[in-house]
Amino acid sequence: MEPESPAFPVPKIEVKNFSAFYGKTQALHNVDFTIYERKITAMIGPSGCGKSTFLRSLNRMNDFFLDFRVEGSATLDGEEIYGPAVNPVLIRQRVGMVFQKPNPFQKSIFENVAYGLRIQGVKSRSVLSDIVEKSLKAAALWDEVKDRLNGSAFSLSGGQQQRLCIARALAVEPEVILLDEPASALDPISTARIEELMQDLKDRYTIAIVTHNMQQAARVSDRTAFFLDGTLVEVNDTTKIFTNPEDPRTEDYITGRFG
Amino acid sequence: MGVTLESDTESNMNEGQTLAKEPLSTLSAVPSPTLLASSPGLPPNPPDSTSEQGSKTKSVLRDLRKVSTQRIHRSERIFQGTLLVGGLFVLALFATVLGVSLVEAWPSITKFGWSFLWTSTWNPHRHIFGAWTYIVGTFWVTGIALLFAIPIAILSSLFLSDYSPKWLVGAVSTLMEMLAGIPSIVFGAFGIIFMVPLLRDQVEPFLANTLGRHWDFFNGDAMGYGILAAGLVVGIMVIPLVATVTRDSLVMVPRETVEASYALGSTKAEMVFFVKLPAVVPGIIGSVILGFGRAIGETMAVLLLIGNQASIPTSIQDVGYTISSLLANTFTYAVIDPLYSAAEIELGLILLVISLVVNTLGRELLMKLMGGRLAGSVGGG
Amino acid sequence: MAENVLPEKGLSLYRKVRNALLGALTAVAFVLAVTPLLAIIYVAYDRGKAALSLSFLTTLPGGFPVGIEGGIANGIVGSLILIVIASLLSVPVGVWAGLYLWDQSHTPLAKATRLLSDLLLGVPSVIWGVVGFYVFSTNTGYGFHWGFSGLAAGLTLGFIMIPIVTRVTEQALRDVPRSYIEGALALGASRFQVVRGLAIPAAITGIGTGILLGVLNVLGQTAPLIFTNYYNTGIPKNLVGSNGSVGDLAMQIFIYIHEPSKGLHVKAMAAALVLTLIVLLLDMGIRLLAWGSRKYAQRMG
Repeated sequence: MEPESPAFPVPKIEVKNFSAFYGKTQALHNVDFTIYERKITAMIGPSGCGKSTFLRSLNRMNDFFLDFRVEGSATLDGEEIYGPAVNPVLIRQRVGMVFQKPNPFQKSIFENVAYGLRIQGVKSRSVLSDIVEKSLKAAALWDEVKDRLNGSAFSLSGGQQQRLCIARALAVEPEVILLDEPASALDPISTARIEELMQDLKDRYTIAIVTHNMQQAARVSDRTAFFLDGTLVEVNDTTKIFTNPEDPRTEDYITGRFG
Repeated sequence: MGVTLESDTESNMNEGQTLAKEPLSTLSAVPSPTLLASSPGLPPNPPDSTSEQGSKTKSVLRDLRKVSTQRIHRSERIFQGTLLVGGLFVLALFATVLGVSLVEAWPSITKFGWSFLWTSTWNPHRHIFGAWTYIVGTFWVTGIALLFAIPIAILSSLFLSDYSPKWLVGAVSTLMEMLAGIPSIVFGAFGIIFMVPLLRDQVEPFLANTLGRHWDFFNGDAMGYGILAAGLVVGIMVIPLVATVTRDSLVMVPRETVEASYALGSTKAEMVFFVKLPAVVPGIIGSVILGFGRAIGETMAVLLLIGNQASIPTSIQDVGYTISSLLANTFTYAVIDPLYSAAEIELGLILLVISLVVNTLGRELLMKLMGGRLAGSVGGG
Repeated sequence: MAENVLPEKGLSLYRKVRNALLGALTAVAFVLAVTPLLAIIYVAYDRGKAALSLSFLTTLPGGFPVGIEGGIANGIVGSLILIVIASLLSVPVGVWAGLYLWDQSHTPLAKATRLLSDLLLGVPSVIWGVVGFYVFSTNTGYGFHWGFSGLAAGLTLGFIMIPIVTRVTEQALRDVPRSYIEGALALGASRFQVVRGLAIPAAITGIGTGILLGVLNVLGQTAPLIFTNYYNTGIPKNLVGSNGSVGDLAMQIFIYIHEPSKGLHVKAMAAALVLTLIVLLLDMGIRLLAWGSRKYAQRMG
């Protein structure tokens, strides 16, 4: 945890007065929140507090719930994510996502990483293998799999699968990576590797992570946001949140769990 | 909830939000961080084969991205529309079934009105048609089949769920489900070769000599053919369906319920019959409804066994006629005469409506109980 | 409280007897349920074995009454033709409709389609016969005027298969884990890409099972053929028009068993055994496929 007080933090995603609904149920209430470029932003809070809904709203993964809708503004580099002419497919190419449970495709390791490129029409084998290699290296998986790229992705361990999913997300050159409790299904050693990896990636990517593990948030993130009942209670530098929270509810939550 | 791929993403928008005028795709590419800082061994890239390999890869991807933006947007629309056509085929098929039946039955519907239902005369020469005889025949066969099948099916599903040795359950359940798939024409042939002689020579004389001494209902000419033969064979066909569906609901009785019953000192039979069985009554009703739906539309076995005489049965040994067996037997003659064929199709329409209502009821009930999954069970006639 | 409300310790004789009797009752019912079903196979074998031989499968019927000599080659070939025609119609349409129901599953139109598709599953086979007759066979009014023919019958059987294939396809697609689909979408895949590249390959065994289930259901269908095809003792040269009828195993059994001829009854039972064995083998194949796809699903987590 390096509280490098940013000289000029550049906003990457800005959310203003943002509310989200599943049908009549309001999942998020008027959230104001900024995610800065090349920082790791963690979102914590009890289950059902809306942190995952918020994360999935940022690359329109909630579009697939029929009755999901949003109010307010969420922008990526100043452009409305929910703008009328915006193609959500394009948003998802710029804002990648890694899920709670590793979800590799029933394909080889190589094809898993290459998938995002293939669907964009990249056919050249040499371009593909080049990017696959880079992505796997960036995800710190290359050395473990370089000899069996054509092997099934399911032959990997859970932790390796999750890093494969990260490599898969990196291959399409996203600008932002959303991580939805990426280590919750993993053992401590795999978790540590993922956390290391995040530190490596933050030089080049904007990262937002949802986690239920506060120690993880404290370890990896630069800024931390605390959600409760669909509202953003507090967002601040991680050190500040964990040492001297402004809101008593934040303090209760932090001390109550890991006192 | 499965994968909900909602199409109309724009509809998720709300007036409250600030609307961007420009699509994201037109954004001037902010030099975004890339992991492709240096990439050796790239294929030559047409326009600017500069020294910097990395930015080349990047530009390949950027160009592709711009192109694919347009393509994806359009193809998405086309894709949705194309899929919709598949759904429309099914809608059209249903409309065809209902439409053809209604149009072709129309002359009879307008001529006879509701009285068609309770008129028992069926005289093609004098152009008087009524459904009553065939409705009654249909319900006789269905009734006998269910009376025979339900107790056996329920008791044997209890046997499978609670009494049979474990090694037997899997094999026998599978066997039952497989036998349920035997075509009804085979059941009909079996009925003629085996059931009819058995009823004629053994069962019906026995019935007449015992119960028949007191009730005319059991008396008759001991022909073998008739509603009893048809009903029993249809019953045999329905047993696997009812037993399988009942068993499926029996295995869903929570373990706690069973254990609670044992903990209070129940014997096994008390647990099975007084705790487990009442707990699955909705499932049993559902399975019986499905069995009814299967039995009522049954054609070939009934056609071969019922005797095909347009009379209302008064005894269990009587012959009769059902809607489906009448249609299969005489429709090709009836088509020569518009009113005759219309009357037959109106009979078919009655059968169709009953089948649709019954199947819908059974399915809805079982879907609620079993969370949406239901083995496809289709009547094979 | 009165003293000694509870019965004495141990089971009363009544409860013991009742326990044993009810248990025995279920066993008896079970035997009653399974015996007739097995008896059907045994009777078909026992009464038909005189006619069974390899040439029974490969020769056309002959003699008088027709069928007293020869075999069921016309029926086997005809049934195959009908199944192929039925599949050619129902597989594309059914898979297509299944994709639609899965993809747009919660729109009102999809809900209506699903309901009507389920209703079609319950349409009695005689009704399908009537519909097939007016749409394909009749020579007057609307429709295709193809006469009693293999094409008319095959497409009618295809109608019957469509809702089966539709539903099983939708279910197979639903069984593809949601996370799997989301993984692709989060990479910026379009839905067409997801469907073609991931969903269909992952659901392919399930869809195959659905197709075979549909075939199984129309294989023994007899009633629709009475309205659209009837029967042919030979192998037809065309599938439309006055000489377009095909033979069919189920129709063959029906016609033979209807004749008051002991010889034909033997042939009917032999044919019934053949049809039953085909159906059971197909059923077994479906179960193996379903078992395989479950394994596959487990591997995908």
